[in-house]
Amino acid sequence: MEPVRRPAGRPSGWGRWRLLSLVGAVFVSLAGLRVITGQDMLTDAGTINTTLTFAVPIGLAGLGGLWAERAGIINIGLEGMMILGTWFGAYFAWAFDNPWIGLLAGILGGMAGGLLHAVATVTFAVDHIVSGVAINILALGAMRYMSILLYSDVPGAGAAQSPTTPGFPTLGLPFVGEAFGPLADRGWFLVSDLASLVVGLTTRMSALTLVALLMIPLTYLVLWRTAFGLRLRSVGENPDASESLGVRVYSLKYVAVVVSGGLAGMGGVFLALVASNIYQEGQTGGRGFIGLAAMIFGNWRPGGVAMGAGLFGYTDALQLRGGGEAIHALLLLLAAVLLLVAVWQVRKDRKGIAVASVVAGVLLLVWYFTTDSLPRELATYSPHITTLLVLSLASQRLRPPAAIGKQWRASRS
Amino acid sequence: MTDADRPTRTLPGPAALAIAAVLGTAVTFVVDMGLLWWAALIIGVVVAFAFVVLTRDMVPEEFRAGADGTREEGTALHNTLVVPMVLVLSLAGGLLSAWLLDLQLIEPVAAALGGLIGSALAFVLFHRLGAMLALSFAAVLVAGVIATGVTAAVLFFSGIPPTATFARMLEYGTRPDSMVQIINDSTTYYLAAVAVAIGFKMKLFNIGVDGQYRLAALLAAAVGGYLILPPVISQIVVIATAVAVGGAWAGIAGYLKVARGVSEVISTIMLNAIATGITAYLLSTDRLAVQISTNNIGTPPMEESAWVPGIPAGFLGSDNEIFGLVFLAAAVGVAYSVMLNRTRFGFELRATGQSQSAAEASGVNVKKMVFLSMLFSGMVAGLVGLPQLLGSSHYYALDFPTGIGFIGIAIALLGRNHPVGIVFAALFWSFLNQAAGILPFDAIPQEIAVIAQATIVLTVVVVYEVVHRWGRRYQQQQIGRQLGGTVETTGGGEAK
Amino acid sequence: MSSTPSGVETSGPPAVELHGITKRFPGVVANHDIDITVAPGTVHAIVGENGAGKSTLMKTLYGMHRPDEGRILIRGQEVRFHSPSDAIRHGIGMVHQHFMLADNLTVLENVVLGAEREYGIGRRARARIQELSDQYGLGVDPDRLMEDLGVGDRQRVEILKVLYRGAKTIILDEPTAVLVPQEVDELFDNLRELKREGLTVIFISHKLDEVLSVADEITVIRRGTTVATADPGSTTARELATLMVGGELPVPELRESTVTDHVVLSLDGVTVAAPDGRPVVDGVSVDIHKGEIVGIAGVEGNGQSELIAAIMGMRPVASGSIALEGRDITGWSTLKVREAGVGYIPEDRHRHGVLLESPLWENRILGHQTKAPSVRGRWINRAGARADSERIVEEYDVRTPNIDVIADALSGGNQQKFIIGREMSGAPRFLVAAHPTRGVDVGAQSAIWEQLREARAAGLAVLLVSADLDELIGMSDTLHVILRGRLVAQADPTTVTPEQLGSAMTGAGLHGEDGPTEGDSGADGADGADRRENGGGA
Repeated sequence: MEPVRRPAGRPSGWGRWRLLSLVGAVFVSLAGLRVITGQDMLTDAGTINTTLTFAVPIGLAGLGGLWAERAGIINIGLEGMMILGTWFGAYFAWAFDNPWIGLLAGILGGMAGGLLHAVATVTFAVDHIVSGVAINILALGAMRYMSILLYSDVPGAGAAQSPTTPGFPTLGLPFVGEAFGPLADRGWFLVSDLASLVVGLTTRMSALTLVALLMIPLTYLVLWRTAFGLRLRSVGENPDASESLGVRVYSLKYVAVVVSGGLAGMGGVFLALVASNIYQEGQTGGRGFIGLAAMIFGNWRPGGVAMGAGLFGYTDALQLRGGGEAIHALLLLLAAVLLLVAVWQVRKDRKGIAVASVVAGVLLLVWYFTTDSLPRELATYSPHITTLLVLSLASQRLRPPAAIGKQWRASRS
Repeated sequence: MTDADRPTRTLPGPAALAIAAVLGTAVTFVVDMGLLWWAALIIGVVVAFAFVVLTRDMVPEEFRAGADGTREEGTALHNTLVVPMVLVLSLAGGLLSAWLLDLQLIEPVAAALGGLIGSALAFVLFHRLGAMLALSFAAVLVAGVIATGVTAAVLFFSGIPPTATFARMLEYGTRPDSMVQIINDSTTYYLAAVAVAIGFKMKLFNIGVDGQYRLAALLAAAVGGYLILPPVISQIVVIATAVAVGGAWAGIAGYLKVARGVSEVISTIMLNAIATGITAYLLSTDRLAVQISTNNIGTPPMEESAWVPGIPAGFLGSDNEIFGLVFLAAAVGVAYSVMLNRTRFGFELRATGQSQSAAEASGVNVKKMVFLSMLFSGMVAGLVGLPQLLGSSHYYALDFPTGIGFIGIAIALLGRNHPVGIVFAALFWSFLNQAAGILPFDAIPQEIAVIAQATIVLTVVVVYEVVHRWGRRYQQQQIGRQLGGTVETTGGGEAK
Repeated sequence: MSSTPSGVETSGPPAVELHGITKRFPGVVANHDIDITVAPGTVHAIVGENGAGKSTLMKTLYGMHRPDEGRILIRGQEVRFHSPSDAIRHGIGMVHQHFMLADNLTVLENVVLGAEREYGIGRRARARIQELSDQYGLGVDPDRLMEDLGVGDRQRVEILKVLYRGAKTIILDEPTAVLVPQEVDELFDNLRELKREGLTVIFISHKLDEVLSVADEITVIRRGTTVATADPGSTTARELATLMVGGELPVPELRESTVTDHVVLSLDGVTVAAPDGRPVVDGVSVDIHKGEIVGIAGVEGNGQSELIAAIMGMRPVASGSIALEGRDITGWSTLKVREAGVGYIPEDRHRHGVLLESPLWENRILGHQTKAPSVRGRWINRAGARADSERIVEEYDVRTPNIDVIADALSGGNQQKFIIGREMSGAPRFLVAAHPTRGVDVGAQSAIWEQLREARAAGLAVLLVSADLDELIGMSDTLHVILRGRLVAQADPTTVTPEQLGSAMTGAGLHGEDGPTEGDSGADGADGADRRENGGGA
């Protein structure tokens, strides 16, 4: 995992340490939860593997959001750009029978959406959210139109879906499955869980997953370690200052938003070619928005985005693999977390929040002990509920880029 | 040029208006005997317009005022922009009203009345239309032209003849049954757009209208289906339920924004998804739903006494009915307009939207405003499903229309959040939807309508932004000239 | 102060020449027929009142916009700038009046931004910044986060940014506006250091004594054009003022005292806490009487804004109490405070004072949305608001074609006059005036001062916060100094000098080491400590 660089005013390395310990604590408590509740799916290798599959498109969307917002442009059109990615990815992969051409086309499709957003928000200084909403509408309609035009004579395809597409090659470390598999099945606290984690992360991984994972350190290096990245971030913090130093604000914003679209497009390709092997209308299912939420959750930093995406991917995967029962087990964890929060708030002398946390925690406990499972319909939307909960607990501690959402115009007239 | 140059005769305002109207009507009526009605009408209105232009200096001062009170007649902007815009608008007004009246009256009378309306418009608009308002109309016109061009290009490159397609859509969209459908759809869309606009007016993005109206419609339908109440009371209870549910669901997002600082954009999108989950959960035969038909389940159908009767659309030449709740939509529109422009709450809402910091320093409780406007937005959103529910389907089933919230966003943008602007935007939107319904019969994808809609939203937004900025600069320029200043505005003024 | 005219006499072509520069904006001619020649290795001052076109001219020279007419020559060579990077390439750097710094980036990142090619963005850049900082005595730590720095440090970072780019000519736009006299002296020392190293400094200001003390040559700008060039050795401030505004500068002064015994606003131990719990206003106690103007002097960021926000109900008071006419108003909402008869002239009128995109008559309602004549119950009274806007425009001499123009179309001075007219309506008992004349032209300035005097004579109690020490001293009946949220000294405005005030503002006490001794008699009220109860003016 990628280190988060020192947040405001703290010594360097502190953020990295915090991130790693948080991830570790979450994993240990999940292992404990598995032992207590007997829900093996909580840390099953298959769940880990599926988590990756679900997390990657969200993470790519989140990184896309990160690029745009670091340059000061809110990109709510990520969803539409993902749609472009799914359609173009599937069509070109099918037409050329080559997933890599599909990948390229999907990225370019997403970039086209990004370009449109950049034209509207940068050149014409339109409200960013307005433009994003319009792009989402446009992408949906345009792709359906294209499907009808191009898939009308293709058997098995139509207005709402493409023919089946070729997939990416899968990778995996040899012997790991054999070596750790038996250990994972033992059910030992933490040991088996770690073994599952290793197995889940090293076997049956799509090539595109690897590419996507590499985008995280790449984004970090480009944005935080190069002159280009410094300029891009400065544009999101104080475009007037950047302009006064001869930085080409408009160009940088364009680049950022187009890259943002490309990343969302890649996420779309992943959905169409890896997560399934077909383009379907509505396939993105709001993942662009969840990606944005993951980015906010991750405090506009690559490592944080990865963590947020992992969280959402995990609830999604768990829901799919373990169903309502597994999600139900999470209620216990949530209740415990809320009670811990309550203790913390009492120490900080904030009684209102503490009481609210206690009440919510107790309610969750009651819910946990009086039911066996979460209704399927609600379990499906657990990532969204998680998003809301996490944001309502974390929003105030975040530090968005200062000039975000501004309809900035160059001072030269 | 000023009036001092031509101090000739003066003509009282009402008299000038009467002459223009009579002239236009008479010309239309006479020419109508020889030519097609629309040609006659165009000639009539143009004659009236010419009269207005020629007599402009005889009309006393108080009859002319631009929107911002600056003297505009005779300026370059007035001549190049407002005057042509007035001609276009009065022609459009005349033609449209004549065409509508034609459905009821005999042709010559309809044409003459159209001429009357067009001529009157020519006079009133010429003297009263402010440059800024004319700019807005021009922006919409330009955006329309661009969007039409883009749509035509898309069609052309798909190998479909654009003009034939447009003609087909126009013909089908103006059939009587289509018009009833358009009005009904617009009623729903209008409510959704007003809900969105309440938030937009204070820069609050309620993307969650979609979830709010679906949840509200489901629960209201359940109340209406299970509770058998006397007429009138039943309708009131159903409407109240919908309003309460919509408000409550939006209130969650409002609360999270105010108390926890969660961006309403994200939270409402998440709430949309969660609402989908809840409706799916509730809409099962174990809970609220019953079997409606072999492959559809829904809430129990309401008693007929709980319905809202429709309005027979015989005057449009159709056997179908217009939703009775069209009056509810109209009432909401009027209430929205009054609230916005005439009440303290509306003032505080707009002030907060323009500058949160200034509003705060002026004693506006911004948090309260955020919460309340989210709440009101949600309450209006709760109404969105009702015309359909009470006027046509009478139950909430799996096939209840979805996605209207997002259409509402687009329409609010298209109508510039203006109570009247949204009316036209909603009508236009449903016209495109309805008119495209014929295209599949010609093997043309009907999604071309969606492309046209999305394009026009984007172009309207862009063109309006450009025009607005230009208009502001123009106004500053005018003021600078009037005050004869040679100094810069403020120290930081030019940095914007 | 001794300044040797043109320290190092370097021969050669002028550093900068401007010939016939004209720049028009929509509706205004900001500059016309500007002619300036700046000799190399000198400090060249450009003076003019607010709105005379100084900033516009410097933005032209820095490539932020192109002149409509005229020529620019750098070291004898004609140039055409399309962007600031062109200007930077020709050795011109600019320190902006409003700092151009990104808070969430470090000093290092702010400095190297846009000039990454010079020394990269890593170790070499850090070393270079350290070297420059030492060479010019700037004392800048490259790894601190920008938002943690104070005003003076920020300005030094701005200067460092310019030096880092190897600038030969440095433009400083109103650099002293936010500094206390002592910091100004430090800045001037820095400038002389720069001059010694052979750099050219263009110094923009409207403060004449500063200009006279530091400049080698002075160019005066009036109504957008150059009207004269003066030699500081043979010119007086009075002569400069005549050139600058065509007459004498308005003097902030109060005539006979109108202070009464009647306490209007009473602050008792008011403490305001920052989000992290640290007090930003710390135990402030002061009484403001009917007919009294109480001035608060302090370096920006020492709690003045927070104190005002607390009085106006925009920030919670952590402890202590605020009473208006004997009634406890602690914890009241802004609306309630305003309804009780408190007027508010905010320090940032664009952010807090007006709705830029709304017409004037709607701006009349702002802040008075519960009081006649703007409203009738829950309804907006359009006619009433419009009629009263007309009255304000008339009485306060707001230059506007009518009341339907948007506020943004007016000049800063006219916006400010409108705000003052609005805040004075409804006969307030107490007025908070934060930087009432900031960024306005002399005409508006003298009008505003006159209005404050009249209101004071009519019995208004005023809290005046300003960065302009002359204004504070001239317009206050009682003067307090705020430092790190505490009132640390009280001064007698009839005798105190700006230098003494400045030293108190930086924590050196009223008897600053460089303060002249005759200040003794006046500044007796406070020997630097906070052992005081109230400002008993009468």
